[in-house]
Amino acid sequence: MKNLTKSQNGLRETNYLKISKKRQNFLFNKISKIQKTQKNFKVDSKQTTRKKRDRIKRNDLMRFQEYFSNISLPDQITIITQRKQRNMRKRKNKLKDKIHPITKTKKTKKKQRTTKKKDHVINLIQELTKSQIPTLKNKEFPKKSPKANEIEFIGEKTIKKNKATNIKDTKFLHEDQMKGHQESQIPKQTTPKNNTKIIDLTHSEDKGADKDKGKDKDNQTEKETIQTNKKKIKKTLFKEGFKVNEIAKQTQPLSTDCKKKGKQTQEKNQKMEKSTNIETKLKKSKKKNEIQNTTILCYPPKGMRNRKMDVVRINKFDLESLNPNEMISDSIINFYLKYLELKIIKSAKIQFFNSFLYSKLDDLLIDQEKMQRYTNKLQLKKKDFWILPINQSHHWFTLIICYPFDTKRSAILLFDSLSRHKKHFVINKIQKFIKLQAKISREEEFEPLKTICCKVPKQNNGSDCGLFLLKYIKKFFSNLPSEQEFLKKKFQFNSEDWFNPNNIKKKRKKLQLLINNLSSSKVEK
Amino acid sequence: MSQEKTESTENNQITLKVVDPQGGETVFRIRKTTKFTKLFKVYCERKGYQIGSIKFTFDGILIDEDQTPDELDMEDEDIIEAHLRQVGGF
Repeated sequence: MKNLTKSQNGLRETNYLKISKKRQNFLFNKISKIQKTQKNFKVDSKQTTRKKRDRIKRNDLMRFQEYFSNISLPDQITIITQRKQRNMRKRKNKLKDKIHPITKTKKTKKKQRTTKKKDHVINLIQELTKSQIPTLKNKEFPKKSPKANEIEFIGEKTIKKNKATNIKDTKFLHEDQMKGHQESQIPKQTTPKNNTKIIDLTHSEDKGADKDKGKDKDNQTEKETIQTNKKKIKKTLFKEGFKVNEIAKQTQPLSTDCKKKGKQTQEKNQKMEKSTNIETKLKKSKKKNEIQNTTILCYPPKGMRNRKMDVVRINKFDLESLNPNEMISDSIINFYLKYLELKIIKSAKIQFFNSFLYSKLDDLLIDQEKMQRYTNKLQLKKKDFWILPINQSHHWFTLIICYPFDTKRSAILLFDSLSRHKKHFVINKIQKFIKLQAKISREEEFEPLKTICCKVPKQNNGSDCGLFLLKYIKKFFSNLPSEQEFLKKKFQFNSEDWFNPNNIKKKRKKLQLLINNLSSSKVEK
Repeated sequence: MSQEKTESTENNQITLKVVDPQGGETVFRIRKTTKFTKLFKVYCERKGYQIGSIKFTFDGILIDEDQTPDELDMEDEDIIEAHLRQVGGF
């Protein structure tokens, strides 16, 4: 009895094994479906659709497994030639048709699936190639060729000689050798890419030129490495027996015919023409820059310079910014403040700051050493007025800090020709700045200063605020407010004694004349 | 040979840090008697700026091309700050 049962079981098993697993599943589904339909005559439409979907999904999975089982084992495929592959595909298609006769009827769905498959396959191949390239690099090009120099120069000739043989191979060789040659050269010329490396300016100028050449070579090598990488991918694909059209299109097949070569030369010529055009454009732009960078004035001149003093250089660009309806640049403002300091307002008790100080104020408030370096030279304690021109979001305005360490008369005056911007941040920062200065100079009595937004003549247009700034400062010191006004902390600037805002445009011509006069006088000397 | 050269010229050379407006740093080695034109030119080429559009300050004071480190009493590892051109109208 036992033997019988065994044999029966064995028979059953063998029969069972003959049918493939996919078939099993398919049959099982069908049977289960029939059984269910027999049990429940009423089946909701939704349920059926769901089942259909599930089934389709499962089938897709199965097919994918089939597809990738071949791809994941490249050793098998290396043996198979292209014809065999085609045959295999045909067979597979036949098999699919046998297994899934339903899909044949619905062609649209099939098309969709095929596209999906292609995408998936391409992704997989790309991943594979990515992982394999680094290993190939080490294997194929481990040593730099000793005769690389010769080959580089004779490279073109060698190609011509080997025309009869395979052009492909020579090209590969040539480029590989070129690559090896360049790789050997790069480490010798250490071009400093990182910021940490020191740039030597102590040597003669010839070395600078060499460095530039090195940069160009770097660019070339980058381009060629990309090309070689592409070709390597192709190689790997050949080895593994893949031939996917999409990737082949991307990497552009190598030209074997002479016609294609002719095309290439044409393309090269076109590229050359383009490059020449670009060069001419670059030259033009360079000329423009040179014109803009021609210095018109360097103020103060060498005799009047001091170690604590700003030196302002005015370019043609800065002078052009004084044309009507142009925005005014920083060097004009710094120049005019310097001019006021040296020529017009000759009291030593005024500190004119840069327009760049405010941009570094954040760092100064954190770093005390830096602060001391900045301010130790200036002797701020002895000065009654500090002038701070500020540029914030393309707008000029000034602060004049009056008697910062005199508690009775101290005040921050804000002159703004547009009352649009919010100044809380600015004033907070400056309060901190003054507080730190008080600490450094060891003032015992210190109170935060009162800020006053002065009512002043305002601008009508969107370009004159820099001129207003200069005018405010000049006017403020030409008739200083009285002692009583400082004590009461109430100022009146909007009276008719100040200037008419309509006349501000004359200031532009005046400034241009001033700069031209100073530069011409310098030349005469 | 190179070591001897550096030893002989060490007294004249100083290293200067140039800090970008964004915060990056580049270090230059320069003789004390050479003008800043060379440094500014190399810096601008390296960073891709126009030469006139960048202003340099040392301890808050504007520097000109014609000046030298000796004129400003610069020491080793001093910091020069680079600023972009400021333009304002409204």
